[in-house]
Amino acid sequence: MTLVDQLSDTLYREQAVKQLDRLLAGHKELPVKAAQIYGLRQIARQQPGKVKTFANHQRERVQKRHDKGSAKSQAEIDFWTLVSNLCSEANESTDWSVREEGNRHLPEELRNIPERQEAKTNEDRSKHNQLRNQRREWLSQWNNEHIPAFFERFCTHALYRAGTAEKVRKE
Amino acid sequence: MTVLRNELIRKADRYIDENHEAFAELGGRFFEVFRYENNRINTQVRNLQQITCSATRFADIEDFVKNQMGKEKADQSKWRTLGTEVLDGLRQLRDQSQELDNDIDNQMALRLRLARGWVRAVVGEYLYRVARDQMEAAS
Repeated sequence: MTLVDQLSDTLYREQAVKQLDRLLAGHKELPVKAAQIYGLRQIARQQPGKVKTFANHQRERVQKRHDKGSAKSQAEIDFWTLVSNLCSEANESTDWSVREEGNRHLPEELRNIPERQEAKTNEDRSKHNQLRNQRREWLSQWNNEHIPAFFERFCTHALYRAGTAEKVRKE
Repeated sequence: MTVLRNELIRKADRYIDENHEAFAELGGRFFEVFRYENNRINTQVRNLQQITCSATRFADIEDFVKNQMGKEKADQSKWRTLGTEVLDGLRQLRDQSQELDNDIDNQMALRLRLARGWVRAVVGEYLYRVARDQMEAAS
């Protein structure tokens, strides 16, 4: 069983449900269209490195729209902000992200890389650059594997919530 | 794939046997909701069986149900009738795997084994109900 299998079956499923349910608490329906969720899932599968850019772009489009400031557009902005945060380093508005999970699993030698100023010799500087490149490479590989796995759960739960909300409306 | 110890396999199988009646009841609900067409098993029931037997992650089975509930076609409204019961059933299997062992790899393998036993009982009852219905129609 690989780590991505394990996390996908446990933590990613839990976080997808938790993060979305928290966002949707108080909303009667999903603030974005199902087609946008399918689009998000497709991007996560094919270009995992572009999910954050896609989410930011979607958010900016809403912010420029004529109905900005309405409750609906704010909910939509919140949704895309969440998607973006889930691909970012930890900040004050998010308690968990795929990127942060990657940081937790970083190999020991890539965790505490000394600052560049601390490197006194050319050899130290070269070592520092090498480690930073390795870390960047490792995290990029992490994102390529784990962003699709997480957003598979996230998008499915979003579509599920959209479907059950529709059932409630019909009743 | 983790190889389960015999003791855990026995515990899982015992759980499947002890809960066979409840699983079969769900199979009956599948028959009531999905029925069958032209003497053939409903595609949605077949799809559930196939995904359960081939999944390497238990959450993929849960996601299959959620995905079907999230769609808007005719069969999906049937899923919205039955999906919550199915998801509850799957959650019980997930909980059971955690009760049977503390090791995460074993839990993942256990819930897949439980799910395969569960779907055999569910689809078995569904097929039995289809056969009975066909016999009654023929007599």
